Order: sequence, then C-alpha cells, then structure tokens
Amino acid sequence: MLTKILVANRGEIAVRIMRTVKEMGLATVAVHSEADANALHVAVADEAVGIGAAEPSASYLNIDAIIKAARDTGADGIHPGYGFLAENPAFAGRVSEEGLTFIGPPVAAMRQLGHKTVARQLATKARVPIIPGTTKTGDNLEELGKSAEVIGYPILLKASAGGGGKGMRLVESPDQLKDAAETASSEAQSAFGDGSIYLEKALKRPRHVEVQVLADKHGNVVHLFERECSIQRRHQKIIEESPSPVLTPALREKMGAAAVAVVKAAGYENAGTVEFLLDASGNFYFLEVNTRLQVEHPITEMVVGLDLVRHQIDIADGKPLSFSQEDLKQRGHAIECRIYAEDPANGFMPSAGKILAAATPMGPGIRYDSGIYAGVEVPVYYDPILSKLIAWGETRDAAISRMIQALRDCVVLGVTTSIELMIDVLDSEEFRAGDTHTAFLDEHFASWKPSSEADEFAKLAEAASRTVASPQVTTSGPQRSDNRSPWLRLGKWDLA
Amino acid sequence: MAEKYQIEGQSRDVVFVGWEDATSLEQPDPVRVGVQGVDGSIWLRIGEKRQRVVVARGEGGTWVWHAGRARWVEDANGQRKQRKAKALPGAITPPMPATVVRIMVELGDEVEKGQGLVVVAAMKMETTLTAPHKGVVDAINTEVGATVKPGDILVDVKKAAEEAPEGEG
Repeated sequence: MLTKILVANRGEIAVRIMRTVKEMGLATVAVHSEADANALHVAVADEAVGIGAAEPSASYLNIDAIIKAARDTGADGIHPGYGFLAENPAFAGRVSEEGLTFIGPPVAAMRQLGHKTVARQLATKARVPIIPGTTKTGDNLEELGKSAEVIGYPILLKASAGGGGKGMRLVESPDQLKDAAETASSEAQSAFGDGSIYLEKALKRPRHVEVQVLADKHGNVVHLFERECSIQRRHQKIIEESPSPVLTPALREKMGAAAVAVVKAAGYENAGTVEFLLDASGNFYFLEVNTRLQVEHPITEMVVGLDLVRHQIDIADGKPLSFSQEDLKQRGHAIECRIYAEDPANGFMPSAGKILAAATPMGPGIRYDSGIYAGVEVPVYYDPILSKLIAWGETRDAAISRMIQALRDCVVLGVTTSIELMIDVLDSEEFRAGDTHTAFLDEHFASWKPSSEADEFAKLAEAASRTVASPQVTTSGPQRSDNRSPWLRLGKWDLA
Repeated sequence: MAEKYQIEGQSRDVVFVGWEDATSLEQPDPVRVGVQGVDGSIWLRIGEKRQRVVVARGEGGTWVWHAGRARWVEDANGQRKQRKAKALPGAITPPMPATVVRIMVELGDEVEKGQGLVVVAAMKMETTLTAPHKGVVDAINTEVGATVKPGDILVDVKKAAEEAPEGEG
C-alpha cells in the first residue's frame, strides 16, 4: 500500500496530482528547482525538496536528485506527471530498482511504445493502420531525404522519443529538409535527451483524435472514449474536446477497440493515450501512444466521471479495475483551453514575467487546473503552460458558451496569454460547426489580431482606475501570510 | 478635466465621477462615467451599461483585463514605449530571455539576407535569428549555452559594401 507520493513535476499538473493524492489520504512530496522555490506546487505539498538549479537537466530531469528526495522523505511512490521524465524508461526503471513504485506503465512497455518507430511496428502487428512513413530511425540526412522522396512531400519530421509537438517539423520541399532536421533533432535532444528523428507523410487537414485507456495489472483493459485535439499551434494542442464532433458510435467503437489492441500488444499497464489521425472519409491512422497522463486528461474525467489520477495510483498499487467497458458512458460534452504564457499575435512567442493578477473562473461545470497565483514569476526555463480551463455542458453548444464565459472571467495579468485568441476561436462559426482539423488555426486565425475596440476601452478603464483610491488587486499568494484577518487570529479560535 | 475617449465607436469627452453620478450617453458631453472599486475589481458605469475590469500596475504602465481581453496601457507621462524598447533595426538580438543553442556561422563568413545565424531557445521553443541584410560576420558576441536577453547583440553582420541599392522585389 502506497502511503506517500512524490510528484516529480511542477506547475498545474503537480498541483492537480497532489489534490487527488491528498483526497486518497496519502502524503505528498513536491520537488522543485531553484527557480520554483515559491511555486504553487511547492506551497500545496506536505513536504518539498529542492533538487537543483533552474535548468531542467539540473532539477526536473535530474534522476539522482529526485530519487534522493524520495529516499530522504520516505516517499514510496513517484508520479511523474507529463513531460520531463514521464516517458523516460531509465527513470521508471531506476524507480523500480530502488524499490519504489512508479505510477505509470512497466518499463518494457514504455520503452517499446516510447520509441515511435517500434510503436508503429507494434500497431501494424495489432492490425491497426499506420500513416505511411519510416519504421526505423533515419539518423543520417541522406537516408531521410531518400525516404522522403519515396513517400512524397509534404512530410512531418518527428522525435523518436518525443511527444507534445517538441522536435516536430513540417517539411514541404527537399530544400527545407536539412534545416528542419537539425532543429527537430536538437529540440528533441534538449526535450527528451534523445535526438533521433523519423518521418511520416503529412496528411491533408486531418483531425487529431486520441483514445484514453486504462489497464490494470490483472489483464483488464478499457478505453475511456476519445478526445479530439485538432486545435493546435506549432503541433501543440491548445483546445481539446470530448466527444469529438464527428465520431459516429460505430467509429468510436472501432477506434476504442484499436486502442485497446495496441496497448494489449505492448503489455501495457496504467493510464495511456493512443493517438490517431482521422481523415475526412473516416479513415483513422495510428500515430503514437503516450505512456503517461495527458495534459488534456480532465475532459475525459468530466465526461466519464472518473478521476484518472486516482485510478493510476490504484493500478500502480495492484488493485484491479472496479468497472468494465460496459459500465463506461460519455455524458455531455467537455472542452479544455490550455492557458499558455505566449503571444498569439506574435507567432505564439513565449512570454515570461511576473503574474500581477490572477482570478479563478467559477460556476456550474467549470474546472480550473492552475499552477499560478498573483505575485509568482513565470520562469523562462520550462514549458509556458500556466493553467487549464475546463468547461462541461450538456451539449457541445452549451459547453462552448460556458467556456467563453469562463474565459472572460479567467483573469491573468502580467504576461501575455492565449486567452483572447481562444475566445475568438470558440466563438467562430467554423468551430461552432465542428469543422476542425489540425491546420484550423493556420487556416482561419493566421492573421488574428487582438481587438482594437478593447484597446480603446482599456485606455478609458485605466484612466478610470486612477480615480479610485488604490484599487486592490488580488495578491493572495500561497506563502503563509501573517496578515491574516483578525477573525483567524483570536487566540484559541485560530482557525488556520 | 474632460479627456477624449472612444465610447461605442464615438470620440467623447469624458469625466470620471462617483457611481451614483453617472449620466446617460444621450446627454451632451462630457460623458460622466461612474467609477467604483469593488472587491479587487473596478466597476465602470457608462451610460446604461456597467462593465467590470481588473487592473494591475506594472513598471511604466498598467495591465487592464476586460472580458477576457488583457491590455497593457503605458503611462501617459514618462517615455512611451519604454517597455517594448525595439532594439536597433537589424540588430541580432533575442526576442526574449533565452539560451543560445547553436551558432550557425563563423567569423568572416559571408551571409545572405535571411540566413540563419544563431538559434536560441526559450521555454523549450527554438527560434532562429537571421541576418537582416547581406554582409560579413564581423563579431560573434556569444557562445553555445549562454543566457541572453533582448538588447544583447549576439552577432554583428557588417553590411555588404554599399553597391547598387537593392531593389525590393
């Protein structure tokens, strides 16, 4: 039985995981870099251990330091979150060797599926269609070039070890290959510690549809239906929804069965996601398996009514799944908006700085998974995700309207974010119509600009704010404050 | 003192008044805009409509949030544009604090306009800084792994001798 869980991650996902761990009555340990000493995930943990300098290689990718933190605090389980070491078999293996429980898949399954070209072979064996491309890693440029000629441009270069769009480049013609390969490989090297890349044919206007699976240690495997994640920039998702607006019950069942077949072939355990591309005629192609909790897992939680992190921990603890495929139903519609510190009017350039104000949207069907608070610095060293807003509604239309309202209340000041763009995307006719595909943003929002009407209004509001005595901005940080209300400091009535 | 602002697409003279003293937009200028601070936000009463905004003062200006749209309003006094100080045109400098990943040229290299010179990474995203004009690499002021910020000139490219002016085409 697990008793204390170390979360080897930062930001919103570390906060979210620790919520469930606490609900389960288990103790939580946070790890943090020097840049994150005051981060929210540190504040909400029972214990926190500094594991190194700001550079990820010195801290969140530092296996020795993380293992030592687990040892020193007596943690018996490690949850890796997503990114960083989540899909690193060396880390998962080391955790097990140390006699600790890794909350994720077995090392062998992770290694096979984590290697994208091996995963493609595995899918073929499971009779699941794959996108034309190389099934081996073409390390040298000449071989990549030859394969690209055979398959035909445009092609997509991808990191063998990767995920999350890192190390991915679209190449439209042979003359772009060299630059793209170098950048992709170097991005892959810095993100995953493995610079190998492979290529796939780039499909025209496909949808990205993925299937969530859960597999226990007793041979039970279920799928938790699909998520559509077609709204992407730089091959990284920013808006996801479940169900997909286009899946028929028959296609849903077929893709669910394909996902289960792939993970079974790999001897998979724990939560995982099988990604597919879906073309306009309803053909789907296996992309890859993400052997971890996904960023967008909350929309699945909202429509199936399960806590995936709780099931991850139970599975790692050896418990069998308490339900079967027939017990699972999709109810209503959920959408997630990822809130990144980035400037959508400027090529989605990341923006760093101090969060000056932050407010949490509320209301029926609203969930906010956040890693920030007013006063915290957004470091330049990590992925610029700040938080995720999730809206559930009885229908897709209801969920869209609810999300737009919640985004309007989702105050983030101090850094530029993608919130304004996402409001406009959700409110667009094309999105409302469900006419989504992976080139949606490039096609409809490439020349998007923030509203000039809002520029004018802001000037008026700013002038108005100066006439009100020192407007108070919410600055409730996670640091334990001594300025508590007198009502909380009344001797034996101290409530804190 | 009344100042001009755009309200519903019209330029109007505006004065800010207490919440109860706001006037309708139909009345002649100045428009009396009611203002009050409520629970960390500021409420504006413009004609018949009320609006809620959140403001946060930063260095040299103020962030304003209204219905999902955040704006940076620079202080009227002081130097404008100090926040987004544009570096010299043509300077090879990162757009934000970043780490140098690759240097793609060597001292003395001849480079074409648009050729990649230095690759920097911030928040795991790589950006290639390119030559603003044709010329010769005159200086390399950085190294792989260095932490750099906007304004740091990473590479100097000496413009090719002023021959015939380049036709834009």
